[in-house]
Amino acid sequence: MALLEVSRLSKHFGGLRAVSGLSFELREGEILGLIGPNGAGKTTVFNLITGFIAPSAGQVLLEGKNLVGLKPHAIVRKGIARTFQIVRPFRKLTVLENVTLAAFLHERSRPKAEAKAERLLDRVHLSARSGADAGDLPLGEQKRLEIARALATDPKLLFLDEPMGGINPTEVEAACELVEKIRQDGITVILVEHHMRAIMKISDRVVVMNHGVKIADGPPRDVVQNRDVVVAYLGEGAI
Amino acid sequence: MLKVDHLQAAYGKVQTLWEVGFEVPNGEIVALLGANGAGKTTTLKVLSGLLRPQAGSIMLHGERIDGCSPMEIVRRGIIQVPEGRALFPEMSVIDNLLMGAYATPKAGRGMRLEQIFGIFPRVKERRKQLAGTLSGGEQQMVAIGRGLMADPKLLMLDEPSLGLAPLMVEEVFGVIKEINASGVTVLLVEQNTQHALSLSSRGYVLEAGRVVLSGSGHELLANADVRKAYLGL
Repeated sequence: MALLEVSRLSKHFGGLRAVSGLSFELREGEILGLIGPNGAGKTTVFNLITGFIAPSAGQVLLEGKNLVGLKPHAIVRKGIARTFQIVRPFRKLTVLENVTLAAFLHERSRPKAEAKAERLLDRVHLSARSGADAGDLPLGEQKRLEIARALATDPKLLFLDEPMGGINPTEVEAACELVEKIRQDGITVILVEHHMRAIMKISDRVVVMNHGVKIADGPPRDVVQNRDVVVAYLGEGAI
Repeated sequence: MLKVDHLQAAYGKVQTLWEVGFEVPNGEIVALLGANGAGKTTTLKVLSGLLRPQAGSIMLHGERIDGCSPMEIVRRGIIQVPEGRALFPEMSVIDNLLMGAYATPKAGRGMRLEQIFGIFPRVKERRKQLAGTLSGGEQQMVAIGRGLMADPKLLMLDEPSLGLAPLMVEEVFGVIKEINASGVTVLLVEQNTQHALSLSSRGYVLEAGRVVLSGSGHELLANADVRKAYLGL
């Protein structure tokens, strides 16, 4: 059985079909890349699955159990955590406090929640910044803070929305290693990202969306040679 | 046009800029490069007057502007297009654009709006839509358009390619070239080093709050350290 099964998922905003009849599966331990042009509906898919908005139609099953209709706080308890494309830390709390708050989901004692937060900050290489106000970090570090905060909820499945925005090509290598380590810890990952080198390197499989529908689904090497994907997304000579 | 010397700045007790100096000649595109946390965005904030420098000077056409208020700096023609776009999501596209003209005289606004619609036909199509409902690429265009509404002499773009699909990145860099060709000087902060340098006449590399390297766009693209550290080659 697939860990996550999305079938015929649709969301209409007025006359706009943001997501239309989207189906895909996510297997346990997989890293799935979700790519497509700006406005293709990728972030909407994240919002639908994590309960931030309700679908117009369709089904989302986590380990066979329906998630549609549950609120975000209930979905995170079931083991799906996410980051946001436009980062949303508590800007006036410290880095450590941000992660500790998330750790309180499963941990009632403050010392234990803090110890867990410290471990996770070490994991995302932010230990040196733990006392800084989250709002003072540069964007690349705020993105890593978001990942630590999501991990603090002990997810089975982690949704990353453009984790590599605001970092340079060399830093992308380190970010790829981080995602790979998260997978080695047994967490399944789905990520939206425009850094094609990163997508090619770490994804086991890539789903491509355009205008709310899936236009390709397969191993990265096949997908980037797909004519529709080149025309809609990559442009000639991008790879 | 712009000359920055020995700039130092801090957030509270954390010093972010230690020794930043560079020049932006009139009519050119200059790139500021560097890893995350190197001080690029901080430098732009200081230039905009959003953060007071602790030391150093900023000269615009020979006049010191460090210590001026953000409003005064905007009036002198230095305009920042912030990282992550920072649009007003619940306002229409056209109202977002008009906000950019806040500090400029009313006469001329209509004409600039038409120019912006000329550069971004898609923004014109969507002018009545709420800005928050646009795609990332369209939002970036509105953010640049809002900057142009302030009638900039120097347009400072903080990561205009952030979060954009490969095809859209090409488009946005094309627009930057077009804006520059129309006479606007550009200071460009980018992680897309390859693109930024091929567009720029000069580049400066920041590391931990200091300028460590500078040269023409072509020189830096060929530089072995730059290739290793910022292009991942």
